[in-house]
Amino acid sequence: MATTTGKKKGKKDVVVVDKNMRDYSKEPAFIKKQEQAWEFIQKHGLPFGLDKQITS
Amino acid sequence: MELEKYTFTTDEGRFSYEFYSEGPKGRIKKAVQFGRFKHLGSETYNLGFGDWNDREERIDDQISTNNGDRDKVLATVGAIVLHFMMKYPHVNIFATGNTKSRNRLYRVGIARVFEEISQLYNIYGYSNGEWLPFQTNSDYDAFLLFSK
Repeated sequence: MATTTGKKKGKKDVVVVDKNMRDYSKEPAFIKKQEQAWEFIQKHGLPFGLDKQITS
Repeated sequence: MELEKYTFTTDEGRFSYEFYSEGPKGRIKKAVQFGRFKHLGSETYNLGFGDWNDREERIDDQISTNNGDRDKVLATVGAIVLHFMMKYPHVNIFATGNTKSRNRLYRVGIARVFEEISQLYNIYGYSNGEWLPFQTNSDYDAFLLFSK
């Protein structure tokens, strides 16, 4: 069940919190997009050293 | 000037958001997902955005719904990004469209809120082999937002 919390703008809430909202993290389209984005970063990098990878 | 936005829902912890676009083509659920780049030392997240396909029960990020509310959808995605960055102040947000037209759409969306967000965040765009400070009238292949 959605619970309305957070900031209000005029008479209508902008943000609603719903702990039962669908989990999109495993959606194939988003996973593929993540992989493509990672390929872009590996190829072109990020500024200010933000692309420094974790070394194990 | 405050832009009109849709109410959006978040799951508070899984980095997912959703909202409904309403227009001539009906009520269409849209979703935003922030995915962390696990190999990076920095807390950098990719912005994923797409339509929920009810019939096939999956996200479709290739579709252009054209529900007559482009500006409101862009403003809502912008508000979602800001909500996420305020919740997690040290994150960086990376975004790239699937096509040149989708990147132009992102550029238009960022340009509309540029004055508001540039006070708090650095905005960079990738163009012609380098990352450059975002300019509202330039085309980019990717975008990066991070806190000042």
